[in-house]
Order: sequence, then C-alpha cells, then structure tokens
Amino acid sequence: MEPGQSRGGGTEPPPPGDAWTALSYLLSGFLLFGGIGWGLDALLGTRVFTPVGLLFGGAASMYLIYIRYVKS
Amino acid sequence: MTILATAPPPPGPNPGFESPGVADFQLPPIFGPVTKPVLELVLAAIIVYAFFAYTARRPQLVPSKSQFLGESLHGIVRNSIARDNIGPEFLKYVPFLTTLFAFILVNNLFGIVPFIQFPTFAHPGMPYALAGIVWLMYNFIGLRKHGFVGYMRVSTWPPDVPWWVRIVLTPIEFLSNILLRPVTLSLRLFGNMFAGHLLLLVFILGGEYMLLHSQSVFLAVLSPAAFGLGIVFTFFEAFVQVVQAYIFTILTASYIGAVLADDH
Amino acid sequence: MVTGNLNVIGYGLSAIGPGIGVGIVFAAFINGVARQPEARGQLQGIAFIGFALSEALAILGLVLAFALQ
Repeated sequence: MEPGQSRGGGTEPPPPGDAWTALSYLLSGFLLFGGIGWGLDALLGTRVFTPVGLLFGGAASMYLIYIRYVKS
Repeated sequence: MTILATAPPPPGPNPGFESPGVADFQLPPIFGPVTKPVLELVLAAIIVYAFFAYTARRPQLVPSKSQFLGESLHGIVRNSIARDNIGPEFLKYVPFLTTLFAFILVNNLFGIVPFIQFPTFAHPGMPYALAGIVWLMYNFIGLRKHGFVGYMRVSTWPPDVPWWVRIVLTPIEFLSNILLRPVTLSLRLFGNMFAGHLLLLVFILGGEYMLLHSQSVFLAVLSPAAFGLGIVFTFFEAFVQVVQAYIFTILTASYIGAVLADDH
Repeated sequence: MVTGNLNVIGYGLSAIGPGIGVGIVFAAFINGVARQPEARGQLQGIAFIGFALSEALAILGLVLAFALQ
C-alpha cells in the first residue's frame, strides 16, 4: 500500500483502531441513555425508565455503528 | 525479592491464606511522597532517552548494530502504526508516537523485571495522566486544523441521516469521541496491568503459602505446580505488556487520524 | 477472607457468553477475508454489527451490575 493512501473506504484495509471506536460508541450509548433513565427514576421515584433508557441507548448506538461502518 | 516481602508473617498457628488485593498496590512511600511507581517513571524516561540518544549518536548510511536497533523500533511505529492510521501528514507525529510507545513498553516491562516487579501503570493515576496528554494533543490538533465549528462537525456529525435522528446520535458521538475516549484509553491499560500483576501475585504468594506456611504435606508437594504456573503466566504477561503498549499507541494514532480526516 | 459484592460475580459469569460470541464473529470475519480478500469492505461492516450486537449484552451486564442493588 502506498504511504498516505491507506485511509479511505472501499476495499482498503481498515485502520485497526476502529474496532475500539465501535466499542466506545456502544458504551457511550448505554451510559448516556441509561444515565438519563436512571436520573428520571431517581427524580420521579419509579423503576421503569432505567431499562427503557438502556435498551433505547443500545439500539441508538447500534444504529450509529451501522451508519458509521456499513453505510459509508 | 520485593514481591515476597508483601506476604504477612504467620501470627497464629494457621491463619489461612490471605488473598492479594487492592491493598498490595498501595506501596509505601520511599521518601517524602515519592513511591516506587514514581521512581519507575523517572527511570523509564532515563532509559528511553539513553536508548535513543545512544543508538542515534553517530548516524551513518550503513547502520551499525545499535543504530539498526533504534531505527527498526522507529520503523515499526512509522510503518505499521502511524502510516496506516494517520493520513498523508503522518510523518509529523511519528516522534511523539515512537517515544510514547517506547515509554509505555519500558514501564510495562518493569512488571516482570526482577527486583522491580511492579508495572507502573498498574497504579491508576499514571495512565490517567498519560491519556490526559493524548486527549489534549488530539483535541488541539483537531481545533487547529478545522476550527471549533468544523472540529465539532467532523467529530460529532453523522452523515446522511434525518435531523431527528441527529438529536439522538450527536450526544452519543460527543460523549464517545470527546469525553469517553481518554477514559477507555487509560482504563484499558490500567486494567490489563492491574489484572496481570494480581494474577502473578496470586500464583507466587499462593505457592509460597502452600510451601512454607500450610500445615499439610499434600499442599507443600503441590506448590511447584503453582510456581510453574507463575512462570508460565510471567511469559504470558510479557506478551500482554507488549501488546498493550502497541494498542495504546495505535489508538492514539487512530484518534489523531480521525480528527485530521476531512469527512467520514 | 473474601469481601465484595455478589453482583460482580454475576457480571463475570455473564461476560463469558459475549466473549465467546465476539470470538466467533471475528473468527468468521478473518475466515471470510482469507477466502475472499476483495470482499473485505463488505464483510467488515457486517462483522462490526455482529460485534456490536454481542458486545451490547456484555455492556448491559456491566451497567446492570452497578445499577441493580
């Protein structure tokens, strides 16, 4: 591979650091929306919003990974 | 042997095996507030500086043996880390990445060097500082290249989605790319070093307890198995330490490459 | 002699499954690239989706180990 041409789409070999970025997206999705749900639960005294927020955050970050890695 | 000095002497007839834990990582200060990991950091900096200064002292076209050693380390970082992860301007960042790789490698390998035997980054404060340096560096590079609005657009703006999806996805990307990156970067290094050192402590201290302090002959006969596994895991730890130094450097290069990219 | 929270043991047990799953996903990815190197771009996206799906379970366990008291 030529120097300086390796970053790009298509069939070029991907940078090895990208697998960790996917994990980071997933973690932040869970943490953000799970944290929002947990805060709502603590505020309102319910127990519903934590699992809902976790599932929604997981789905959102999986969609983000789909956009970043499959569509582009 | 520093590692055996942490085993408490048996006070009673048979106190039982006390498993090593977090307390074994809180080393006593040597003088003032200076503990062993701090001295190891200074020693590692001296070693890295001396290595590169010695191998590059008289550069020749046909390299001598020591020059070849230094140049091949530099070449590994340049060819397989920087060039694949950073775009066309990768040459500017190779010195930083090379010294980062060598520094982390030396610090990690302190975990299996006899009489030192403590990986510096098994103490959580050290990788946090290292990841903080990397965080400042890639944010500064991104801000200098794109400006504030452009940098936010590059790092938190998913392409080709409707606006109501962006409301959900942009906070995730901001959290992941700006806030969570140094945390995961340092936690990965810290966790690997901590777990590896704890594993070796369990095998060596457990074998020592079985051989010297247990009342049963059966356990004393079995203790060479524990020491043997300790040696096996020492080699495994050497492998993990090299791999973790490599991964830390590759992720730093990947972050720099991501903020330098024009669009995704 | 051992102190701590039982949730952490539960998380350790629940991390076994996703660990095996991620291993299978990337083993299949490497196999596919070895057989057909030109399909790497397509396979990489699919591999990351599979990785994300199985890793999500591990992170769910990690979060719940701290959240459920």
